[in-house]
Amino acid sequence: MFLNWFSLKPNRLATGTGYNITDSAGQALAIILFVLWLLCIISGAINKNISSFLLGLCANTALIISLIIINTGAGNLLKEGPASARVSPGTGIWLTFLACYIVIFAAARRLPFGRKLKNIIIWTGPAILIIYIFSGGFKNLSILAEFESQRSRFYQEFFNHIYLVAISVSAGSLLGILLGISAVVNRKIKNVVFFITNISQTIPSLALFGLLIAPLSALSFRFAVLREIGIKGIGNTPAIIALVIYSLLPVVRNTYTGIKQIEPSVIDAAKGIGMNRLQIFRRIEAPLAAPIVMEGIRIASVQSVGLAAVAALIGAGGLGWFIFQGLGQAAPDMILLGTIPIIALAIFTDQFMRLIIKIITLRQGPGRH
Amino acid sequence: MIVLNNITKIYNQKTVVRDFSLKVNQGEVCVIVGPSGCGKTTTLRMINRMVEPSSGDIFIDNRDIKKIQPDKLRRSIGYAIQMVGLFPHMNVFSNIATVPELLGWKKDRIKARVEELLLLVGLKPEEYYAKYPHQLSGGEAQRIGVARALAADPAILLMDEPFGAVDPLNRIRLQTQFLNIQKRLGKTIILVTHDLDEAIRLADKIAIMKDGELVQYDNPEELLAKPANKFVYDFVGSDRALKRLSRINIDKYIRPAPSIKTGSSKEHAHKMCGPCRWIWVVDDNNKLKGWIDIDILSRSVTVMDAVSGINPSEISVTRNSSLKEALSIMLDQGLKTIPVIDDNGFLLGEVDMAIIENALTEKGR
Repeated sequence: MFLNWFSLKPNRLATGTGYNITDSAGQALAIILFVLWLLCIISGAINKNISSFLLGLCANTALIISLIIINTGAGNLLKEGPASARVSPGTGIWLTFLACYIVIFAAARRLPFGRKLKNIIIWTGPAILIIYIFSGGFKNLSILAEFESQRSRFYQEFFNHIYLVAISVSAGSLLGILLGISAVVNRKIKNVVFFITNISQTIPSLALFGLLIAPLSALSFRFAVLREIGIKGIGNTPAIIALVIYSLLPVVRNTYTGIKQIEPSVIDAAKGIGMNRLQIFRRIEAPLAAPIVMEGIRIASVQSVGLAAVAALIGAGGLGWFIFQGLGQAAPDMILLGTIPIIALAIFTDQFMRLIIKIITLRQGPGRH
Repeated sequence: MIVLNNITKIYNQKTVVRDFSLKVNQGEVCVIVGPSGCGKTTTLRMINRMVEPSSGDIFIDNRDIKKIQPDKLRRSIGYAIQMVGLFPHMNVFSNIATVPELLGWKKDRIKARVEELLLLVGLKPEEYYAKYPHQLSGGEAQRIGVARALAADPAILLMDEPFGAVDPLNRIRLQTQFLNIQKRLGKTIILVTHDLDEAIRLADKIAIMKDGELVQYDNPEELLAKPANKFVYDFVGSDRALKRLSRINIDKYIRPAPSIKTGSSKEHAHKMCGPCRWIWVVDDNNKLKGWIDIDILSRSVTVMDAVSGINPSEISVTRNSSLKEALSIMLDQGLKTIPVIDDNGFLLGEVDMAIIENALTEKGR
C-alpha cells in the first residue's frame, strides 16, 4: 500500500508520474486501509471460525475501501492537473486487489460453511466492483475516460464482436457436427476431414485472415451477386469464414469421439431389440454424445472470442479494433478498453457453456460422470 | 418353431458357419454350446438378422425371415447379450419400456408391463424404476437386460452368454430363476454358451458346435450317454456320468422308507430296525428328526436319546433335487442311504447307492 497507486499523465499519450495513497486520497483513507490490513494479519494468525469470518469481512471491506480510494484519489489528482490529464491505476492498486483475493480465498477455505456461503464471500467483491463501475465510480480513471469518449463506438464494437463469434460458432458447430457424424459413418471421409481440420488449426490466425482476402476479393470482383450480398475481400466475410474454420476442429473431433466412445454393446443391444438406424441415432447416439459435443462447442466459443480480436485487422471490427487502435497510437488505456471486455466475455462464455453441459449430463442420470 | 436350413456364413473368404441345420420346437430351450470361435454367436445373430447368412434359409413359424423387415423381426424376438448393453442415459423403467414404446403401446399399458416384468425377474418395481444402469450390480443389470428382452412378450428369445459376466454364485441363482421363469412363460429360447454345465442345466436340447459345424444335436441325457464322436466325448469330459446324474430328477426314484415316531418304545424301535440295524425317526407330524442306530439304542434310555445329533436338513435332499445332489451329500456325509423330504421337512422316502447306479445304467443303455 505504500507503492504508487496512480500514475498521472498530462495527456493520454505521455508517460506519467507516480502517486501513493496519502498524496492522492488523503491520510484518513490510508489509515483505515492500514488498520484493516492489521486486522487481517491478526485474525489470520488465529485459526478460529470467528476470526476466519472476520478475515473475510476485513478483506472485503479493504476491497471496498480501495475502490473508494481509487475514485477520490484519481479525482483529487485530476483537479490539480490540466484538462487533458489522465489517471491510470498503478502497481499499488493491482497488488492490493491481488492481496485482497488471496486473503478472501484463504478465509473462504477455512470457514466451515457450505459451497453457497463460500461463494457469497468470494463473489461479493466482484459484484461490488461491477456495480461500482456501472454507477460511474471509476469515472476519474483514464480507462473509463477513454470509454466515455468512445462510448457509442464501444457498444457498436462490443456487439459486433459478439455477433462475429455467435455467427461463426453456430455455423462452425453445425458444419462440425455434420462432418463429425460423416467421419463416424465413413473411414475415408474421416481421414480427409481430420487432415484438413488439423492442418487449418496450425495456420497462424493472422495468416489465415490475410489468406482469405485475395480469393474472396477475386470472387466478389467476378460475381456481382456476391458483391451485392456483401461478400468482399475485407470486412466480416473473411473473418467469419476464418473463425468457422477454427471452430471446426474441436467440434468435429468431439463429435467423432462422442459417438465412438459409446460402448459397442449398447449399440448392439439397441439394434438387437429392433431400433432402426435413425432411432439408434436419435435415442442413443445423439444423447450420449451430446455432453462431449457441447464440450467441443465450448472450446470453439472461448477460442473464437479471443481470435475474433484479430479480425479487426482485416476490417471486421469487434473489440480488437480498440486494441489495434491503441497499439497504433501507443495508448495503453485504449488497449485495455479492448482487452478487458474480451477477457470478461471469454470467462462468461466459458461458464455459461459449462452450465449448459452440466444441465445436459444431470438430465441423463445422477453421478455418471 | 425355428428352422435353420443349410446355413453358411463366409467372412472375408473364411467360413465361420458351414452348412448348419437346426430345428427348435415351440417352447423348447435349445442351447448352442462349443469352444470360443466355433461360430455359435454368428449363428444366433443370423436368426434376428443382425448377421445375414451367405447361403441357406431361416424360417420362423414357416415364414422366411428374409421376407420380414429386420427392425420388425427384431422387435418380435427378445435379445439379451452378455454385455447386457443397458442404455446408460436411461433409467431402468425407460430401458425396459424401449421396445413397447417403439411398438407404440399406450402409457399405462407400458407401465403395467414394466412393473410385471420387474416382479418376474425378482426386483422390486418401486425400488428400481428410477435407478440408472451404473447404479446396478452385475446380476441386477443382467436381470434388467432379460426383462427388456421380454418387454413386448416375444414368442422367441435369443440369449448370447446371458450369465457370462456374473460371478459363479449369482450365475447359479440366475439360472434357477431362468428355469422358473421359463416354466411359467414357455418361450422358444435359443441360448449360446461355452459352459457345458450351464447347457446341461438349462437345455431341452443341446447343439454342440465345432469350427462352424453342428457336431451333435440331442437332448442332454442322450448327449451325455452317447457322445457322437471323440470331440463331443472330450468336450463332455470324463465326469459325464456325474453330469448325467445332474439331469436326473430324484422324484421318480424315491422308494418308501420305514420310520418310527419319536415317542415309540425301545422295543418297537428294536423290532423295526431289523436286519438293517438302523431306522429313520420322525415326529408325530411325520417330520424327519434323524435316524437311530441299534447299537446306540441299546445303550440309551429312550428312543429320543438315541437319535443322531445331525441337523436333518444336512443329510437329506428335497424332491426337486437331482441324483447328483443326492450322491454328493451321500459321499460328503458317508451315508449309503439318503432321506428325501418335501419343502416342510416331511419324510417322503429314501434313495440309496444301488438306485443311483441303476438309474445311470438304465439311462445309459
